[in-house]
Amino acid sequence: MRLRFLLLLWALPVWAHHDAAVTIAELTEQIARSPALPELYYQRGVEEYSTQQLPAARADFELALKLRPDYLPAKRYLAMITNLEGHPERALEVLQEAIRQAPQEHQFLMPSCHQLEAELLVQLKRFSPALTAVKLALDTPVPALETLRLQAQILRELGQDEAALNSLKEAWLKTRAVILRNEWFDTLIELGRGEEALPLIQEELENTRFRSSWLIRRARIFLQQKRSAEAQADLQAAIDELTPRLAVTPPPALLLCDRGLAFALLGQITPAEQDLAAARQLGVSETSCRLLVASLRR
Amino acid sequence: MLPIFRKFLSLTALAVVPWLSSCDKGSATPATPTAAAVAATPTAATPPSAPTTSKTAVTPDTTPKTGISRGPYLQMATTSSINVVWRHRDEPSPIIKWGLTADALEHTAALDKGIVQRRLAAEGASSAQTLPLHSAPAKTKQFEAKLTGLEPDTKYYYAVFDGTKRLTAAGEDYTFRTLPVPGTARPGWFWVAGDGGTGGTIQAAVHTAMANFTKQKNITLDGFLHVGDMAYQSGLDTEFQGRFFNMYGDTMRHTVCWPAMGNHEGKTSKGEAGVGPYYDSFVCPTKGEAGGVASGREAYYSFDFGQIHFVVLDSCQEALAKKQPSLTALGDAMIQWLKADLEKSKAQWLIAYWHHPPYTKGSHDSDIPADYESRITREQFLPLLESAGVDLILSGHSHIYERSMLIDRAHSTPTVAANFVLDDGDGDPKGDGAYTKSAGLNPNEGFVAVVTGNAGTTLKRVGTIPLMKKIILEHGSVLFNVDGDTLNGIMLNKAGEQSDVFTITKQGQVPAKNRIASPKPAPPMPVIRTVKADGAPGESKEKEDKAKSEKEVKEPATGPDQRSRHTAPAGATDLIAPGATWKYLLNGTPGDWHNPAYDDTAWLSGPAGFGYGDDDDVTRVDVKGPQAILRIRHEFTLPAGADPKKLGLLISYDDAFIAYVNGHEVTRSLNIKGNGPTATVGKPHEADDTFEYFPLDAAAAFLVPGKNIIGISGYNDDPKSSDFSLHPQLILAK
Repeated sequence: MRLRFLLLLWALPVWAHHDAAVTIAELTEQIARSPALPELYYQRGVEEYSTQQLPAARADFELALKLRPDYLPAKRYLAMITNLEGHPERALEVLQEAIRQAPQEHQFLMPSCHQLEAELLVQLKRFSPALTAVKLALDTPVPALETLRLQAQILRELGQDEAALNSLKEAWLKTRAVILRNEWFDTLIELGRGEEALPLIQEELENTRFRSSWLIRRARIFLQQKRSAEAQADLQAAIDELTPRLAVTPPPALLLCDRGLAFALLGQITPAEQDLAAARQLGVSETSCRLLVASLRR
Repeated sequence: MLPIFRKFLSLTALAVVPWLSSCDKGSATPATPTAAAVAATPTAATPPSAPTTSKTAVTPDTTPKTGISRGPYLQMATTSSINVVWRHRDEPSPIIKWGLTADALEHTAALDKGIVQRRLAAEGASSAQTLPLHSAPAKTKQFEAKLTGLEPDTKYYYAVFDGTKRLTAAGEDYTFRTLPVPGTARPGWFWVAGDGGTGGTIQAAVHTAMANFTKQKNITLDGFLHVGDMAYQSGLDTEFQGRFFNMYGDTMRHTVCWPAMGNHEGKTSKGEAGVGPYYDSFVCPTKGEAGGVASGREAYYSFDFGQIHFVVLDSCQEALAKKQPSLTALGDAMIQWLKADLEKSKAQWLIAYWHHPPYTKGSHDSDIPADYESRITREQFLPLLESAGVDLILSGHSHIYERSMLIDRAHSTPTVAANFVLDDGDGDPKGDGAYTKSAGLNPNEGFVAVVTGNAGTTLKRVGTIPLMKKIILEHGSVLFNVDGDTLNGIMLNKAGEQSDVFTITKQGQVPAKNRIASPKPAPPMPVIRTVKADGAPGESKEKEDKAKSEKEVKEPATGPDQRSRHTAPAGATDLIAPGATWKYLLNGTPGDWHNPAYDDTAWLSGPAGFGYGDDDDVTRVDVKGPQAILRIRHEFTLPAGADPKKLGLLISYDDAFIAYVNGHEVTRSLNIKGNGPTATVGKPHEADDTFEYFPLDAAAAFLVPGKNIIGISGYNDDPKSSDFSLHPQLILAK
């Protein structure tokens, strides 16, 4: 995880620096004139954070907190930085203290604070409290789709597979968000219950212009059912559809993840790893390449 | 409030009474609005008691006795349904009737029977049938009628009632048409506007130009696509009312608006939560109701019109997500939805739009870090869209019109054209010929990118994106139609002239195009960094005309406000040009800072305008906190023989200012009392990218031969205000 973060730092585009430098310089001037405004240190800290100048960002968030100890926005970033520095336990302490001391005016930030709390707890593999935190993050009229997915992930870590499936299905039925439905399909397949999703997957295959992601889902079910030839045919068809779409520079990162997964399921590890590396270089999220990573681990 | 201003208010109120009484009879407004009529659409502004914190009262309270304070306007159409939305201030018995002819409205929906009510949470939005409004004037009820059981591609007439009392007129104004069945070869016309939300005369003129054009050509619009920044400065409910609904109401009552969120709306409405004035205002697909796949969020969605698949993205959310302290890739959901949506579509045409342009050098520069949102759209959105065969990408944000050649895969930073242009012609059938693509959607056959952030606010250009074929500094909007295998695009300026035309045809199988190593970009033109009021001396007539159209001195508002009521003189000479470098100082106690003898060497220097928070500032200065003052100084010399009484100040400001010449006050905004740190600002004032004129004839007594000093102090009304602007220009009238 730490190595991945360092790689991420290294890969950060240089362009981000220049603008932040200008904004930081302006904020520095303003701070010189108005040194008692915590917002100015906070704003400068955010700019520094966004360009990965973590020591400077930390210093500014701490200065903001010195001026206003209950300044939740600054504490939230401070917790994140502490984690990025390799101290997740300490980060969690900072965040939880901030949550406890949050003033009324910052209550609107609570869902995102609990989201970060849940993420930190997952990182620490403390899934029960993570579940409590994610439920608090969901205590908002319109919860983030990402939070709903995180809840399912935590439930699965706790071995509550049925609850994970139900949470995804409920969230899908409530929001109709296609990404929650697809997550539900993928979870069903991962749990060896892909046949429940098969009729819907067949329907998608008949009504879809680009069929590769659905061919891969069906192939995963076929593999579980020991129907290797059919699985291989689907996976090869998916690769054949994806390859011309990927013959561009730069290729769409999400499609690289799909093709990498197809390669991995065919046992072609080298091209799968190449696609994963290329997708990561293009900035794809870990959520988006989760299945490919899991497949390569197997 | 100053007594003189109070008197002005009362006179203004009297002046609008006759007009109000004529509107109250429910007579239909003309289908083609005039600029004045559009600006004065008889819908309401927020009353002073509104619970919102808007700094802007953009229109007078002109609610006719129908009680309708917004709309009715059309939202999310499908092949079998449509939403009609309106607001009411009283406790009406809301009813909507519709039918196939104007005199046979045989279908009815009533409250809880097809009509959902929304109101402020504090006013009882708790039941399943009464949903919350995030912000609105007190006692506002918003009614959202979903009319169902409709036939596809069919025109209906509708009327809104309060019980038995009809509130809307009969006629073509109050009609709607359902969407054609996806895949149907149905021609369609669409209007695209961006960054218009000023509530000013230019915005009205752009709208009028479109309305006149469509009327003259007998065109019926099939959709109004807004690419964001519809309600400056912060997308507050009051700003939506005065700067969007009041301005476009005549069109929106018969044409569905499909919005994309701008960064200014993003200040008060959050995409992931779907909460805020933007989401109060619009009903967007979340469940794939209008085609495409379900996004689960109103922030991003898709819809089908016949053979066209439209994709609407939220570039604000995508960009903001990158700065959040989170281990999860917030914003991932939209990209994954986009992939799923594009996989599914079998349309013949693919058109996508969002706010931040992938390519621009207008008032924003997509190649610089400050506009990182543009880079994100270029790197995250374009690869997927291109591989799905996108034909046209529309955006705003940058206050300019820029239109590309036929391009593909230009994702690098800085943007280069070599090998990313597939056709470097102008796309005009009467010029270099239309751009050609194969029938259907085919990966990476090229698309046209259009930036149309020119529907109302000040225009600006900072350079040339080499992918662009047309770069036009004119206020206007885009109309396009798709008819079978042909898409025609027009940039219609505010005078109603077609400043650009382009065509894409999609027939058969077009051979793969060579990538052009040295494409011919837009014809060279001098870069205008800052727009001029009347053109600088020595410029060509064409440039003078262009400059006039680029920045207009706002006419006196129709309602009571704080604007200067003077008209800027034509043909003036700049003594201190817009964008000039001034000395400036934030706060402090600089004593006699406005005197010529004052030593300002310790002050900072920077180009005007100064301020923060509203995208109109070149030098960012956070004029925040109690008693914050920005002071600026500049030398000037009166030309020999010039009449000192002809000195004048053009100034864009938010919220208040006092101007001094050689140490003597010579003018001030109407909304400020006192001087120095103890000065108090009354009613807030928005800059609106508008330069107001203040004669400085009072300075004549203090001017000296040779060096003179003008000093201006700028004030914010609220120590926590979301914005501040100060951008002066010193002129000498003829």
